Amino acid sequence: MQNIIEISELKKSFGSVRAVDDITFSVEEGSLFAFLGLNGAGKTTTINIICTILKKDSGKVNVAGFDLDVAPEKVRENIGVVFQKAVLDDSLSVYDNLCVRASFYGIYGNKRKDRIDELSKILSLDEIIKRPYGKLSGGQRRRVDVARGLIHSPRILILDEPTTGLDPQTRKAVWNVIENLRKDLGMTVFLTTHYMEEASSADDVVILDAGKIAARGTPNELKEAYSYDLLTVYSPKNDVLDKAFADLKFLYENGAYRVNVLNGEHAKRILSEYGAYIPDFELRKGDMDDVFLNVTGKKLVGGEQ
Amino acid sequence: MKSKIKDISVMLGMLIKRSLNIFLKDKMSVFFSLLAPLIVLAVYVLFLADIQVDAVKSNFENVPIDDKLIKNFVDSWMLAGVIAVACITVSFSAQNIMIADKERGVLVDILSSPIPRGLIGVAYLISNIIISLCLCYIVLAISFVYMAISGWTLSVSDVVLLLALTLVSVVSAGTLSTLICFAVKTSAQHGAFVGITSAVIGFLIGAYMPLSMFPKAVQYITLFVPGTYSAALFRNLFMDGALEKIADIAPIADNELRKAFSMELDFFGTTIGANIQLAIFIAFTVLTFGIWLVIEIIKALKRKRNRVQIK
Repeated sequence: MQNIIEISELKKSFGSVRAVDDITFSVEEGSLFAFLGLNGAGKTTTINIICTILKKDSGKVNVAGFDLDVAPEKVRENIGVVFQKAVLDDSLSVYDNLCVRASFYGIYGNKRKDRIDELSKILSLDEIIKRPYGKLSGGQRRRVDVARGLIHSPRILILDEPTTGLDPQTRKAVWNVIENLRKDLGMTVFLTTHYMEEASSADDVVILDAGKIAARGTPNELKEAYSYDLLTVYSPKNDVLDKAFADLKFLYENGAYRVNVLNGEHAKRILSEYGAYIPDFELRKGDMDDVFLNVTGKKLVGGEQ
Repeated sequence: MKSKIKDISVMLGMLIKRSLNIFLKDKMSVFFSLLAPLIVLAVYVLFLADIQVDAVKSNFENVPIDDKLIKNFVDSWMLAGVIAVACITVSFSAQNIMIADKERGVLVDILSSPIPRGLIGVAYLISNIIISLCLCYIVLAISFVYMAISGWTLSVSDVVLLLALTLVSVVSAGTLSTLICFAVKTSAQHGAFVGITSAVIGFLIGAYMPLSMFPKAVQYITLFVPGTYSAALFRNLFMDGALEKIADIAPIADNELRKAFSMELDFFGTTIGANIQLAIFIAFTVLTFGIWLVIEIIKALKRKRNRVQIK
C-alpha cells in the first residue's frame, strides 16, 4: 500500500503555545485514519495545515504526491474537507450550496448535475435537496457537508470532528456514511475525533497530546500496549496499600484506590496478598478509553500523588 | 487555456450570484440597508423642511420669490442628501456578507478549494457594488417620485447624469467600505460600525444641514471625505433646475444660494464648482481603488504561497 499523506517534522506555534510540536506520520491510501486527542491537542491545527489554509512553521507535508510548499493548488484539488463548523450558507438550498462549491473546482453544467445526482444517491439527499441548509437537522447538515467535501471526487476526505455535537443516533448514522464511503468508494478517510469507539473502528490511530504524537498503531495494537484492567479498591488511604501499589500506576480519589493491573491474574495476586487491607473492590476490563487515558496520562497519573 | 478562462468566469459568476442570493434572501438586512437614507427623508419632512425654507426666505425678504419655488429648491437639496447618504450607508451595510464569511469560516472553506486566490476579493467587491447599486437606484426612484409630486425641476440630461453619478458614487463607496471592512472581524463590530457611520455621515457630507453652516475647521475636515464631493455633485444635479427658476426672478440669489447650500465647496479658501468637485471625487475613487488593488494582490500572493494566518 502506498502512503497518500506523508508528514514529517511538522511544527506550528501560536505565540508561545506549541500547537503542533514536531510530528511525523503517514496515511496509507484507502485507509480510515483517526486522529485522536483532547480539545487543544493540535488536531485541527494539523488538519488546517494539510488543507493549505494555515501556514506551518517548519516540516514537510506531502499530499497525494504533491508537496504542500511547491504545489498547494494540486493538494487542494485532491482533498475534500468537512470542517468542524458548518460552512455552507443557511439561506441557500442544499442544491444551490453544492452548485456554488462545485464551481470552485471547475465543475458546472451537465457534469455538475450528474455529480450532485450521484452524491444525492450516496448520501440520501433527495428529500432535502431543495430545502435551505439552515433549516436542516444536525445529521442532515452533516450529510450535506460530506457531499460538499466530495463534490470534486477527491482522493482524500478529511473530516474534522464530524460527529461532535450530534445525538447518539445521528452520530451512528453519520459514522455509517463515513465507513461506507471508504468501503464502497475505496477513499482515504482522515478524521479527527474524541470518541474512542470511533477510533476503535479505524485502521490506524494516532493519539495526539499537547502537539506531540503520544502513540500510534491499529486499535488492537494500542489496546495490547496501553490498556490495563482497572482495579478499584475501596479503602481509606493507608501506608500499606500506598506501598503495595507504589510500583504500579495508581490514583487515590473519592475514598478509593484506582490501580492499573495487567490482567485478572495480576489482580488476584494483589487481592490475595493484601486481602486483609482490602475491604471491598471492583475489577473492570480495559478498552480504548483506557488506551487514551494511559497514553496521554490526562487522568491516571503515577504513584507520587 | 480557453477552458481555464471559462472555469474562472463561472467561479466568479457563482460567487457573485451567491452573494446576491444571500443578501436578497435576508429581507431584514435589505430593509435596514435602506433605513438610513429613509431616516434622512423622514427627518427632513418632519423637522428640517420648514427651517430651511424659512432660512432661505429670510435671506430674500424684499424679493418676491414664490414660496413653492423655494420649497422645490430645498426639497431637491434634501433629495441630493438622501441619495448621497444612501450610496455610502448601503455599501457599508452590504459588507455584512464578506464579514459573515470571515466570521463563520466560509472564507476558510472557499480557500480550501483550488479557486484562484485573487478571485475571492474581486467577487466580494463586484457583489457589493451590484447590491448597492440596485438599492441606491431604488432610493433614487423614490427621490424621483417625491420630486414628481412636490414639483419636477430636472431635465433629461440631469436624470441621466444622476444615474451615472450614483454608479460612480457606489463604486467609490463600495471600494472604500471594502477597504475599511478588511479590519472588521465580526458581525457585531460591523453592526456597531454601520450604526455609527450612518449617524455621522449625514452630517459629515452635509445632508442634514448645509456644510456652510459648520465652522471652517469642520468644513475643511469634511474635504477629506470622498462622500462630500459626491454629495456636492448630487446637489448640483438635483438643484440646478430649481435654482435657475429662482435666479430668473432674483439673479442675486444664484451665487448666494450656491454657497449657502454647498453646491460650491470652500476648498481650503478656494471656491470650487462642480467640475473640480468631480475631478477630486474621481481622484479619490482611483486612489481608493489603487489601495484596494495593492492589498488584494498582496493577499492573493500570500494565500497562493499558503501563507495565510487565520485567527
